Amino acid sequence: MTAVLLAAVSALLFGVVYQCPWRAVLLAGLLAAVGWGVYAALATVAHLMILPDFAGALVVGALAEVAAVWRRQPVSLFVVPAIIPFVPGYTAYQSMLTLIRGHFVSGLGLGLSAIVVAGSLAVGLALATAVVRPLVHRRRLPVPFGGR
Amino acid sequence: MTMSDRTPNLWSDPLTVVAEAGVLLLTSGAETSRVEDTMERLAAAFGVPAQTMVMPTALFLHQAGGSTVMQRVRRRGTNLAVVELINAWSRDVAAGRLTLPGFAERLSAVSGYRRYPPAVEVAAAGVAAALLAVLFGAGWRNMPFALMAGVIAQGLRAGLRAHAVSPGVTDFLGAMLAALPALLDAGLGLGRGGAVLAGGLMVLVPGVMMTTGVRDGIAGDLLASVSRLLEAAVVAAAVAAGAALPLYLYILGHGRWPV
Repeated sequence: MTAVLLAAVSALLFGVVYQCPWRAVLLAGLLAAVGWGVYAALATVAHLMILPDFAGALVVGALAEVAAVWRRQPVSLFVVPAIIPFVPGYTAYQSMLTLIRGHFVSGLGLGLSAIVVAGSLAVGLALATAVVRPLVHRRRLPVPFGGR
Repeated sequence: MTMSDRTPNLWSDPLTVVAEAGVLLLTSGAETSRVEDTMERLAAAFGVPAQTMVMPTALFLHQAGGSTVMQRVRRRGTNLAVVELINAWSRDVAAGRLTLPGFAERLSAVSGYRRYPPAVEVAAAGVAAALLAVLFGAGWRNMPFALMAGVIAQGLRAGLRAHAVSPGVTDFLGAMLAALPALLDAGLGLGRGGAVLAGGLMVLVPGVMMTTGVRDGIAGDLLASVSRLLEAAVVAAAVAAGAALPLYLYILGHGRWPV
């Protein structure tokens, strides 16, 4: 519970760092709270590995698409701050520490696991966009000419 | 790139105005597909249907059977206030509520716009770093050190933003200085120096860049994707190297480091 609050408030503050309008900041904090709740619930189950991160990002991404349509604002306003608590900064730090201690193999392993977690976050967000966006945007404006 | 080095009459050229909107979106951290989409809609609304090609380092805008505008983009940041404003204005343009001169005038005022003053930004980064450090397992007594680290990291980045220091150098210096409070924490025997260090560095970690890179790739913007991922890798390497240097010297001197 404390962790959910920490994640939400830190996402909110990163929203301020990224100059988000304050209403969007509050919504982003809410998204981070829900996403972190899902992440924390799944993280208690053993052997799921990167699934909690993926599920958390999926929830954040899907809710952000809904928020973007509701508020008629770009989805980045909600996604960018809300995903920050999920970024595997601690694993990246551990990798760096292990490398400077001269344990190259385990250091590279930790670095790779940080990259895999970051990748699963990105895939979760992208998948949420791909699935939710067509559902919430009924009408698409025509593309000017040819091309795509 | 900015208004001052342009003659005002260029601002009546729709393609130039649309390209400027694209540059502002790109330098404020919008993803590639949004920049292209917004530029194409704006161009269509101004009666000059155009094709676009957007990369993190440059953008092109070609009017069918007409001229082509190219804009070089050298530095990028994250300013979601600008993304939000241009989004709202381009919606007004598409709905016919905003004309070309009006849109151009608003654009020329939005460059460098900040919703929160630098002091608020730095304070927010500090508190966020402290909270993330606790999330990483630091205790409440470690929080002031993580707060210091966050303030140093964001303060240095905000301070150097105006100067022509290359981003990699900024991140290296920021990480090096942001590591010092964690060393102080460890030196005082308070423990959990690792969580303090990681929390402070979260301000500098290119998480958004990497996520946007993967999203661009999945959206099919391959060139943008690889360059963003490369940028993220360069920044991550700079941050890691910057933090590693003081940490390495500390471990050499003391031998012990509280994970």
